[in-house]
Amino acid sequence: MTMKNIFLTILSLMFIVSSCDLYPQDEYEEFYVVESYLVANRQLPLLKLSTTAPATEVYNFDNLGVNNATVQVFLLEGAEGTNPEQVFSYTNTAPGIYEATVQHDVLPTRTYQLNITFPDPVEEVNAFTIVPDTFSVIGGVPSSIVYQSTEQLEVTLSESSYPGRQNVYIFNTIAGEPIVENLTPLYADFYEDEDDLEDFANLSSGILNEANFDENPDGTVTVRYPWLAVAYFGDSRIVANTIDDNIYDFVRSQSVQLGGSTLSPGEIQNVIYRMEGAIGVFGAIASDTIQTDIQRPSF
Amino acid sequence: MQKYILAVALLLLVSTATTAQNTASISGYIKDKNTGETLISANIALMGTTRGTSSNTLGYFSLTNIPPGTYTLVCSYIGFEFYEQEITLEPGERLQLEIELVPQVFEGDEIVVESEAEKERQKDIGTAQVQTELIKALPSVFEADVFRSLQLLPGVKAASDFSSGLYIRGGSPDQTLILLDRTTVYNPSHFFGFFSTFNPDAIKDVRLYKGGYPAEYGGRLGSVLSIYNKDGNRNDMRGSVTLGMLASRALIEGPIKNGSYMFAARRSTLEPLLAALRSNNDNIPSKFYFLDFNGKINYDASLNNKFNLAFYSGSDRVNFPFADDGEFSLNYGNQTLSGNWTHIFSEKLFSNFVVTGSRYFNFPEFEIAGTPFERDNNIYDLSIKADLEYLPNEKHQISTGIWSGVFTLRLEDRFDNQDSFSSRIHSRYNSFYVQDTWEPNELWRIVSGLRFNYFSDGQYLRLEPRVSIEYKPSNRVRLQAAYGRYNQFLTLITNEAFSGFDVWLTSDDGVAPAYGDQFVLGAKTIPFSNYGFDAEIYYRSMNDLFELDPFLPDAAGLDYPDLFRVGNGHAYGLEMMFEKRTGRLTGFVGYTLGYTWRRFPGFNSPIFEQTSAGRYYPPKYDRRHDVNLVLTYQLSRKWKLTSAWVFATGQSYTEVLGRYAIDQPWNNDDPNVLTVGKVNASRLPDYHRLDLSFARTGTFFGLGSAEWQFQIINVYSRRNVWFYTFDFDTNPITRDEITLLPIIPAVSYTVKF
Repeated sequence: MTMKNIFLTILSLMFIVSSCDLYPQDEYEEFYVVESYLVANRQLPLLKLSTTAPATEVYNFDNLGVNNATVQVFLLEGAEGTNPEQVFSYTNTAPGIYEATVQHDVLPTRTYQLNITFPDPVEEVNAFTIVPDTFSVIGGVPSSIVYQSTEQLEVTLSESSYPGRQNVYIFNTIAGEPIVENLTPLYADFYEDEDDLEDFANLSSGILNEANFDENPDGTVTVRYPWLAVAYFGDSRIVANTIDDNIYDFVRSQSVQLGGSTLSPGEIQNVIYRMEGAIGVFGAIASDTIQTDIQRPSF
Repeated sequence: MQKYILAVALLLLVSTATTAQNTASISGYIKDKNTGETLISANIALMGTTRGTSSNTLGYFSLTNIPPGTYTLVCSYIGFEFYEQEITLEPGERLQLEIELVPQVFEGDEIVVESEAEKERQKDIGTAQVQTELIKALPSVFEADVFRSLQLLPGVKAASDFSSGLYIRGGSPDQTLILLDRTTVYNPSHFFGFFSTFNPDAIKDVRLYKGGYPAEYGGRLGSVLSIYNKDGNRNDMRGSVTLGMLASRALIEGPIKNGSYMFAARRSTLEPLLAALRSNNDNIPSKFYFLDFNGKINYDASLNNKFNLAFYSGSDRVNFPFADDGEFSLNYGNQTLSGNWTHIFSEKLFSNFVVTGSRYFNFPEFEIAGTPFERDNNIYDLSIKADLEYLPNEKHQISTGIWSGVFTLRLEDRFDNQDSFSSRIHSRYNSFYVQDTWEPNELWRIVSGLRFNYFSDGQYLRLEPRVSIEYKPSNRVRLQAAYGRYNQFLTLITNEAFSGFDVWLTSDDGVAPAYGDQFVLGAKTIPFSNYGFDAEIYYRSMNDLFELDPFLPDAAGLDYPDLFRVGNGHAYGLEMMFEKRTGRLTGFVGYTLGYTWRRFPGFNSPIFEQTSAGRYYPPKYDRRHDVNLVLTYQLSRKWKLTSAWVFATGQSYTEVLGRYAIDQPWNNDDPNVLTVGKVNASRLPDYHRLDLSFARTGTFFGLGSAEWQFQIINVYSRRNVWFYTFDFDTNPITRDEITLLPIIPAVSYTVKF
């Protein structure tokens, strides 16, 4: 074989190899979407059931809500896989909205199962959650505090636990009077339109591991609440939430879908779901709330 | 291990003393006649015989076991005139020479750029060398840059116009060991990755081992980039000053008694531009500059004992008040120091000993709404290296060496004036290699080696066999093959878009080092006189790749292995380069066909199988085809045109297929959630760009030479796409393009005296 033939053979092979698509793009696939958050010691929450929409089409929950599904939540005797101790049926009260037909206070540290069935075609959704242990804010908090003063708001949380790992928290600050005039300087600078007022009215800390906080000898932990989490002067409610594994996985993966991680820009992954037959979140939290008045500094 | 190394050294010494006395030898240094700089990889041979070699990284060569007689000694190096000298060797004579090569100059009206040496150039498998003159001549965004020049080579890719990171043969930037004067550099970037740290004025030699690199090196899965700074002019004091749009630089070099010195400095000069922008825009940094210094001092105690001390120090600083009550500042940089002792025991035993120190630091600070965040990130790497080259006879060259060091990583985070994370890793690493270069005849050259690596955290001991074989069926063809096993104990936490916060982490108990094998086949040919055609195909595996879990929201309280995801990957491809090496028009066209794949548990799994092993996916920087055309044309005695045209198939990205919205009780954002299919299964539009540089040489009021450089980046202003973003304020959501550099003109002026 001459050099010319070898060269042409290599070129032909290259063309064949490189023209094969080893990794074709998938087509859009519709999924059921579930959203519900159990809160320890509170009534069973409503459940939203819908489908995804193609990215190129208008998104409207009312049009995408799924009705006439059979929705049940089971309180299990023990861990995942054990028999139901109680069964709570849900009813379809609005497009895509289901509410429990009986009153039930969600029990901390217990395992709940979500089961949804669809008649046509026959499909089933299952998910499990372990409700975090309850805790409370102890020692009280000042009724008012001056924004960015040296005396920072400190919150002490009673001891609690979650099976298999440390507690994981999300804090949020809910403003009592979310108007432009009450915005703190940073958020006043960020403010662009009315939608921002609503977004700033309930600010989330993101996920925080308990190991970030000061551990006290009695097992309680103390959190110094950062000024960054305060968007409005005035009455504010500060909510401490501990979250289950379902929410932990959902939030940590959803928050980096469009960047903010070590992933390259445009390298988007699906959210981590702990659910069979649908996507979304069937989560559980335990929470406690304090109230304080964030006062303007005198400068 | 140290005892073993000592024994090997003693054995080599003893055997040297018992050398037969009937033959002669020639050894010495090959230098630039004008500057006295030693020349690396210059070829030297005895004409009419099969005896020849090339100078090592210190410019030293040795030819032993030469029968007595009269020979014509020839020496060649690209850009220098051919050298020949008649010598007569007596039995037992040990001739020591300092060969001084004369740089080629243009004479008369006719321009002849010719280098016969190039035809003979030794090209080892997987290696590439970039001439510093080409680095300075290539059009570049504001400032000549080593890494940008390397990105034009086949097999080397850029992540984007904004990143100087080297993605070589499917590997990420942390898979390339970067050495400056034998010292590891951990974050070789300025402006958060836009430029590399290396000042082109100060550089003597740039050598890239793209793959299948020899046993002398270790510690990275993929490649080695070895850069040597200039020693300094040994004959006259010389200097240069370059004024550019983004940065200006200056260099001074000259002789000292029995030695030389070189100092170079560079600083960005963005301040006037920033001041102008600040008058119309709010979001402009109040401080933004980089600064670096290079220096080297050489001292020859005797012909057989040479010392040098080299240093580098560079940093970037930015202050950015991005809101009324929010400010960001960052100070990051590198510092290196190396002390080198070269000792020639005899013409058969050459040695080099180095003490190196390297520090990388970054100190980002945020002060947002009275809530400070501060990070202190320091890496200290102190090491000693010893390398011996032994020539027992004309058919063998045995190399051996050690590299031992202490690696300290200190990372401390403070949030809201309280310690939030603290980590201190203090590890020892030791390596030992032995390598034999065997040339049984003029057709074959076999390099076999073995490298031992030890890493104290986790007590990991790894063995790395390496071998490369070269067969030369004719004077115009070299066929090559190589295999090697490589281990990596480090991983880099970075972001493609911003490298100012880089953090390195190490393997440890429960986190095994990554390892991989490389297979390379290649051919180096000279199809016509003054032309070269090279081709290589490669396959490499990557196992136990450990990298920071990208979904980890908070590391506090987690066990060290829980910080990582561990996966594997592989890459394969074909590289070709056709080169015109001499004449008025020089340059090359390079082509790369490349594939690279990664797999991590649960990542890129089907949506209902997320606990599976995950599917292989291409990382964003995967490109199927790359074409680079680099040409230099000497228009006249004064004018030179250099152009670089790059074409690459689009990078991979993930197509968003579906969406839904949720109502989380802890915020009012109602975040949109995207659904996707396979990760990175779509391709951005093809990338292409043409850059031009016109250089005009002249004089500076008779005081020295001068050069104007006029450059146009992205001549036809193609708006290449970097990635897509999504606007959720519209319904349906709209996709926006984030584009790369537009057309950019640049000008610089250099004076040499």
